[in-house]
Amino acid sequence: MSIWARVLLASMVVFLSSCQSDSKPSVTIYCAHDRVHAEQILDLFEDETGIRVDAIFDTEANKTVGLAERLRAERGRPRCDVHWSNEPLRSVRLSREGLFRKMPSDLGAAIPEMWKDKSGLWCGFAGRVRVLAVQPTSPAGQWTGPVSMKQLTEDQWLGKVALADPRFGTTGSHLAIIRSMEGEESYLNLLQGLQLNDVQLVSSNSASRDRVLSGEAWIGVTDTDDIEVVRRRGESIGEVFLSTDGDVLLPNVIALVKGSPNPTEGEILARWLLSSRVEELLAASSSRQVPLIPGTSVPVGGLSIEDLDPLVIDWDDAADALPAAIQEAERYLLDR
Amino acid sequence: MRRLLSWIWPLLPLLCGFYIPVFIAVLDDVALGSIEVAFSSVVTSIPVIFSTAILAISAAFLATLIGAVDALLISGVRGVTSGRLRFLWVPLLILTFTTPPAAVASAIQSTFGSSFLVAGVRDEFGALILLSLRWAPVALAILLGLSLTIPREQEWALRLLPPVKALKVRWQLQRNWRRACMLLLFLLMLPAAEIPSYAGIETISRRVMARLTVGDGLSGWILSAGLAGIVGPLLAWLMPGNQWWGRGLKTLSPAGLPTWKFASGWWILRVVPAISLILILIYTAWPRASEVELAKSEFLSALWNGIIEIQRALLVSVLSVLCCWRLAVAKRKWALWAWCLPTFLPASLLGLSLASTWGVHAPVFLDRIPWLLSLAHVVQLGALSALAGILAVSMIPEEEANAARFVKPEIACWRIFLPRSLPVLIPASIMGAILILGEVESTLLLAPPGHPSPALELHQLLHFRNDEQASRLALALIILSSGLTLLFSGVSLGRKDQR
Repeated sequence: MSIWARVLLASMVVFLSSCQSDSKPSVTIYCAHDRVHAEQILDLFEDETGIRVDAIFDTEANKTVGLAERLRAERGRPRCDVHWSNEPLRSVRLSREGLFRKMPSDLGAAIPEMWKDKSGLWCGFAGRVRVLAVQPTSPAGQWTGPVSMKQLTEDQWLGKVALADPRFGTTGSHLAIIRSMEGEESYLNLLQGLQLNDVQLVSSNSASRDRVLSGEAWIGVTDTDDIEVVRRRGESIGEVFLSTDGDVLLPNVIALVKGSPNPTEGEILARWLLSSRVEELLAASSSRQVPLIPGTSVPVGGLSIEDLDPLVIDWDDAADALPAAIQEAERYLLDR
Repeated sequence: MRRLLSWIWPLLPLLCGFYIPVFIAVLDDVALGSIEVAFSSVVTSIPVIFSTAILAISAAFLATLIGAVDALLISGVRGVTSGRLRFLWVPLLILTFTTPPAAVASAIQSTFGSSFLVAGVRDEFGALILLSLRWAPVALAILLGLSLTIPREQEWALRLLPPVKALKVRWQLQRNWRRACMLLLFLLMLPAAEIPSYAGIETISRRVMARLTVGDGLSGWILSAGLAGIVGPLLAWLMPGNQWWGRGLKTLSPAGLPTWKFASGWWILRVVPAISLILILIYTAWPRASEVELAKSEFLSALWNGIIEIQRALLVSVLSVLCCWRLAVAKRKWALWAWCLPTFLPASLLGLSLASTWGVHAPVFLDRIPWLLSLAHVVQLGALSALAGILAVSMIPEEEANAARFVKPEIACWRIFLPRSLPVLIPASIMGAILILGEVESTLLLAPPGHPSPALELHQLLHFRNDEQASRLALALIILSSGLTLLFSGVSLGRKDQR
């Protein structure tokens, strides 16, 4: 037998042996939350319960979209037990397509109703806020007073605003919420203003923040967690809340997949994730999530829901607006 | 029956991994979607088709130019192919191709910041440079293969000319090959999504993904059909005509080749990106005293995951290359053309087709085995495998091909042609395996839960500015891919010495 044939045979043996599974109970989760943060939490669950967690994480640039598509494609025979989305609108759409099952009523019982689906198909927890990352030494760093998205269309910010690809992740959701709450005309005016102001389109929220760090942009529309990650690494970056618009707080979302292979373990994991303890862990992590359960402790420097003025969002309306918001954003901002 | 089996087996992975699932998925999306809406959204995407094509053709031109100079100097000047450390040149020259794009992006990000990925001038310029450097080694492989196989008499005549004159003539001889090579690279870069996404620019593949976000699979298919409309005829034109055999590897000896002082300058320039990449990653990955244990475990775990994954990648790559080589031996031109097409379909569409077609009906015990992912990778490598098959067959001297007609076809194929083709098939399989190691899109959609995927993990780490951990992962991937190319270059150059 030649050396190459031996290498091939050995490859086959090692590969097949690596596919063996153990008999421990397990649960599969599709997770769109940042891997570095979610992995620690899932490891803790595994240590405490003895249930093995098989996780698949989304990529930052495709946030929520890749795994949502995978759930759709696997609809006939799901592999996933729990879907952890990092924003609610795609979960609303998936729940309408019949991919989720009703959650037991005790799951996330402490979480206020405004963060849950009315039919009990999904439940939000620990969220992040849409904010502006600003370059402290630029004119945007001297910003005082209330701020709104519309101000980004002013002449003084020409070519100095960075925005993540509006079709993916929380940016798409943010735009859909604006469209659903302010109406089509106002939304199109905003897009037109951003287009005329030569907004810099980048691949993700973290890239939007990085443009601000490098000085290429003075303002980057992003999430609070993206700012906190670099602040903890010693970077100097400002954070401005969109107080005129109201704080767009996008919770993480847990849903149980209909017809999943491990329903019991799925419920155990979902119950664990929707606990106050996990919210505390997420609030203390560098993702600086905002706990939704009243009374959950927030570390110094963290964000508490009591300090915010979260916008009351009709998630169903916003989810309805998502396709049009994305297509219009594509037309105005990408096809210019 | 046996004849039928031998006719159909090279097509089975292609039918199961591409044509059947894609056909079913298209039918489903046509039934669910509105053709009018899909067409209207496709019309707005026409400028993206053109901008993607312009990016791809520019990068193909630059990559071909770099690869052509490399091939010219290797085939026409003494230097890089001699000396004790000559086996190091192959991995260094092709490092920009064998390193997963996410690792390159990680190195750039950790050194200059993520905004440097757009090169600071225009987003397209950043993507152009990254794409060109990535694909230049492929141009080198193709053009070098052709440059080393010119007729013996012609080669010796060239070696008698003054060095600069000889290089000029060799450059002229390359002209037609360069054109074909550029066209092929253009086709390979058209569906590129990963590198342009780092540079933040819009391409067709990204547009298809965006269509999927709003459940509009149908316009994704129509856009892909538009892409196939460009790719299909060009590929047919690129397929070999009647001349399949006969180049033969005739002039490997460096005897009589001139030396040329400017060549060293070029080689230094060429390996600078590779060496800088390695140094940057080592510098970034180097842990502080308090993190040594953590860093060690991260690095070793990444290496182990990569070792497991590379086994699968090798098996997948060998299967793909063998299928195409078998078709090339049988001179089944249209079957090879059909093998090329899956490479040009955006990976997200292929992944979703496979998951919704076969994944739904697969028995539960297969859930932990990455068979669907492997099937996707087998067909995604189609163009590379077809190219390898055609090149391998064209290396077989015509007289041997004629002599083989006197034995049974299967014996001729496996006992005569296969050993003759290995010098092309083995490096092609290794290249394919390395490409799979860095693949992200299908892996995200098809990998079973818990399946190790270092490239996907690296991709996820990139955005969190955890540069140290990302660099360790990137280094592990580079060690694996370079290890494979070193093994091959060591074995092949060692053997040459024995002849």
